[in-house]
Amino acid sequence: MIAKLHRLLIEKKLSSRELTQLYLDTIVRDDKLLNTYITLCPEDALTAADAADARFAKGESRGPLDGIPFSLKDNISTRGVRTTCASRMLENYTPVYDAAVWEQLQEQGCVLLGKTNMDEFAMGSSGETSFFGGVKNPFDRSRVPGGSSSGAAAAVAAGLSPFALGSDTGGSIRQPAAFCGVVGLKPTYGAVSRYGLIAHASSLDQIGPIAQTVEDTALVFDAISARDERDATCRGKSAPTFPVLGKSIRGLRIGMAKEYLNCAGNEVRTAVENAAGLFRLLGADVSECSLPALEEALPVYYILACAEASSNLGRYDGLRYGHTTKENCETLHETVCKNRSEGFGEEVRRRILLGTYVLSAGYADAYYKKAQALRQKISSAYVAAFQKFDILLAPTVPDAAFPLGEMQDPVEIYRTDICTVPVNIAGLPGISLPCGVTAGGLPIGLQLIAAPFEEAKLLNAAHAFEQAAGLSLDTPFGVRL
Amino acid sequence: MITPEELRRLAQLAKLEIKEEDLPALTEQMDRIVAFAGAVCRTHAERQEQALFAEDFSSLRDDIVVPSLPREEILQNAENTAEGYFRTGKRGAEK
Repeated sequence: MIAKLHRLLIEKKLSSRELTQLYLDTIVRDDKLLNTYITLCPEDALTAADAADARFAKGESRGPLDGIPFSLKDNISTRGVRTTCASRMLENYTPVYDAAVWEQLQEQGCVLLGKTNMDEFAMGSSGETSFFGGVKNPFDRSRVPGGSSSGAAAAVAAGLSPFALGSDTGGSIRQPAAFCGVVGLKPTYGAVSRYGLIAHASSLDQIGPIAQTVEDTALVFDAISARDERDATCRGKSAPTFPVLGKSIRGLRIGMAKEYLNCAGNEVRTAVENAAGLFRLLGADVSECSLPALEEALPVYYILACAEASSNLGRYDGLRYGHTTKENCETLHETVCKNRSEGFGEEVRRRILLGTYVLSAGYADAYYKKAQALRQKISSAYVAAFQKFDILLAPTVPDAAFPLGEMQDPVEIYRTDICTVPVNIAGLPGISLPCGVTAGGLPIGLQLIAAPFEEAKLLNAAHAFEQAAGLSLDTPFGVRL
Repeated sequence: MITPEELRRLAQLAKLEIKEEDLPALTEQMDRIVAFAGAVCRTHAERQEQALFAEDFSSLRDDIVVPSLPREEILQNAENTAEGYFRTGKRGAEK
């Protein structure tokens, strides 16, 4: 998609302004049914498009992303453009600086269409917790698109954004990518700068691309993965990924952890097993393995993520920025409590309370410190697995997209993250790509996982599968060229 | 098991307000969530001394003074300001 669009621009068959206006008009037409965007930036987008066209007129180009429209999840800071985290707390917050990834994409000449909808403060797996209303799945609007990068995945799937950046703390790129039939990459922890990403859980968060193809995903990842001294955990990529796409995967050692397969529903399990069969036909060596440490990953994740989130969200007091209560309060503490309680939604408040509990005196040893020890155990299990395998193969989510409003029990929603959270716990790169559809026409996602900073190997394997599988998923929405 | 009193204490620590009418339902929810998280308490694991990742995250940048963000920009997102400061109202006696 991106290469095709860029060729049209370079060959002047279409201008970036025309392309951008087409996306903006289509968003206005279609997004009232999907609610993928919170904020659109039409003036800035057209200004950036005009600048790209001026470069093309002189025979210049900044690269393969020059003049290409895209969207950013609304927890990525954009100077002068409202950034809400889909929360009442930040409903009117406008950052005074740009996130590193946005700086990088501006340097490439990308055109920002707008900020996409999400679960509030990236806490959710359905797209239903946004203060600005939930997002609908473009394949079936009675179902969730997944979360928390709900708008990003749905916009790409619906043809309302050629590509998007999302963030992934426990699956928030991969799971909505699976539900929406697109490609979503969670890079290695440290491959992409978190400077300007509004923090959820700082030892787990990563920004990554969501796109329609693996090739597009590789192009975008290469553009945003670079060392950044403003994020001490960021060292960038070890090697570009786009140039190695298309390399043979004959002899690639692929492991299927039975713990992942055992949790999948029948249709997902069949699709993943068929995917394994296709990898074998491509010459890969696929075999089953066991990673029992994965069974502890879900509670470990929710303890660590909520502990970090309770600390990170402590900054939202409504005094320097953010929601302020209109009620009269007698004390500063009461003011802050009201600001926070009115500003945060239910799921955010629950996670802050859980995080406070597991860090509190008398419980920190039993919960938080134990979870840290188990985190190391899970990471060590992956280290051992990657001695024997190049790639691990798994479902992204146990089942396809569930109906809107179906999951009322928070714990039931947490359990849908079972296949994705171990990857964040261990800081590994993981990608979701479509591998089939259910009998009801809902996309099914395949997850591939690699060792740290092996995105080139990971994306090449994903590309090989994608080309061989030849899946084509379409929705009734979006730009048609 | 989470009790309503425990939940009130947690809310106080987290600077959140819980309405009395919401307390029973929220207590039950939090009890289930804590039980779900409590699976880690029943698992044996010892914290190891080795670093979580093989990567070295200890590289530091030079401590060079650069201009900060302009004060007027930082104040733009505040509801109440006065003379270049954030204005919070009186602290008052804590309950």
